[in-house]
Amino acid sequence: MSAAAGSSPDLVPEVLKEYGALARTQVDAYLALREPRRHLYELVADYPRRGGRMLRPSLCIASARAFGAQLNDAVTSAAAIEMLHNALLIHDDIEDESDRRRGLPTLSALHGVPAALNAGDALALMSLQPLLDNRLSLGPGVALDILEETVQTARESVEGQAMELGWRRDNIVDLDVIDYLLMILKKTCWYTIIYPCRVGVIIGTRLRPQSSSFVRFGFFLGAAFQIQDDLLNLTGDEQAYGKERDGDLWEGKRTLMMIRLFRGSTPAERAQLAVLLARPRADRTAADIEWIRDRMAAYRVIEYAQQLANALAGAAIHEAAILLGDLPDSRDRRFIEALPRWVLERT
Amino acid sequence: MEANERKRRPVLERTKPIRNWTNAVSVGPASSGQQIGQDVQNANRVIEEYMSAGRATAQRFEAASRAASVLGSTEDIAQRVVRAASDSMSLWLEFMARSGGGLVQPQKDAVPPLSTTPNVPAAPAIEGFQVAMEVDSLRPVTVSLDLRSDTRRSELSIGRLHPRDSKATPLKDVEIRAASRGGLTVRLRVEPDQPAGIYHGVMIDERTSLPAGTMSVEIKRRRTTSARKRRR
Repeated sequence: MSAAAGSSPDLVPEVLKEYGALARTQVDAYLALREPRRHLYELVADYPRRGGRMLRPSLCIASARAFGAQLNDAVTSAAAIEMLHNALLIHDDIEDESDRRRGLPTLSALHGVPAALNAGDALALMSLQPLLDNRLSLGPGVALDILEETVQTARESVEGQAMELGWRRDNIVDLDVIDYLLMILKKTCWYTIIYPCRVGVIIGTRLRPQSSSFVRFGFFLGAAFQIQDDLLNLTGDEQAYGKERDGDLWEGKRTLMMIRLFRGSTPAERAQLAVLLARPRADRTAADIEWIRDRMAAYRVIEYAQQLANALAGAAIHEAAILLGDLPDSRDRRFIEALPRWVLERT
Repeated sequence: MEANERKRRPVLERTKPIRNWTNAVSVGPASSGQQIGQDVQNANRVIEEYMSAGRATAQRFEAASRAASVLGSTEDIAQRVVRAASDSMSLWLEFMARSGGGLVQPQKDAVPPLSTTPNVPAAPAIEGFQVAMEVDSLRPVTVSLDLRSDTRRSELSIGRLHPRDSKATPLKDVEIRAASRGGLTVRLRVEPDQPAGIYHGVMIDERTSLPAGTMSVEIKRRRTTSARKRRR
């Protein structure tokens, strides 16, 4: 039985709050305002200051500590991970034509696409500075290993995003669960779970883990996380969730639910869905969205997606036991082991 | 229906056979446990194929570098030593440059004057500390120790060293003891049939029972006959 079985239900929120605050302080230090403020640095600092779960930086710190590192060893890398995450969010919101992020208008909605794009570029490049600073606290060898992990993660992430954007641009609708899972592995799982864990292991052990280390765990946990996130978009409370309800339907995003609907519906319905998804976002109507929701309900797509998310979270629990089972018991180890359940229970 | 109305064939929902059996069972409402099980298997398939592709790529790179390199195990160790020395030297040179040059002793709490880089610690002061290694192994072994600066080095212990990514038997014959002159002695015995790979363990401060650092041991593969012939 894993140590997480006896963990308090508040463990994950407590650790996210504690480690998140540390990472946020470090991020703030790297994003100190200077000129030009109005057209660049205030935009760059916007998303990081809106808050967020801080899952990725917390995972980096917890992994590092679980593998023997001191707290301060990991905070700088955690800040870099959070900065990179926010840079990707800025660009994501442009690519998805989203209106809201963390309860407020998106950066592109507030300042226009050109300025938001530039701010995203700046934040992505600025996230390299903490990684360079690692050479002084962790040594050049470890800093270089972390940089190499970052390059790989960035490549996986943009390749996954390219898959999804390509499906939308070319109106590819005949997709399968396997297509979705591969896209999610590259787009989400790498930079959300695999990369923070692997950076933490490098910091804790001062050695680069083998290429397969944490990939299975990160894939199962990241996939459960993303499916749950997409479910919240359809079923969650907009204020708590922070994004517009049904935003994914308006965007025509190829979520698991959309793919499942397409595969499970009649040929006539499939044809109608394909026509609907081919239209630009501006040409979709509330009636179109209502029809999609109605078909999803008829084919119990949301229940299916929830069940698959549950099953993948279970697979993640199994992988965590293999990865962490030999480590000494610690709050950080228990936090990582408790994440699969938290992913399903969060709102 | 009126007497003169022609009977018409109904419009068919399906005009072709279902070739893909996974689609056949997924049509319709209510996902079954079987469908979920199938999709979890699909997820396993995705990750296995992905990792297999990654391994193949890594092996191609490794084979290419092994073919191009004439380095043997002792030179691998030498490379690590050179890297460690180079790392230390580059850190020292960087610190010297930021201190304005000259032979300035690094102060414990000094922070380099970097206008754009917050919270960057100074290069750590290096205390004299000896570690003696007693390694009993038929194959080349690299041992890495990472000790926390606040550790009382005379009171360390270590358990087994576990393999990073395989199911090999952990390294059990490993011990840390205090040396007479205040340093440490690390004793390690590697069985002849111990699989190659990286083994990792956490050192415990016996006084506090808290982690005090980590030890990693890399056991190299046995050199093949053809490699030995090439070296000659």
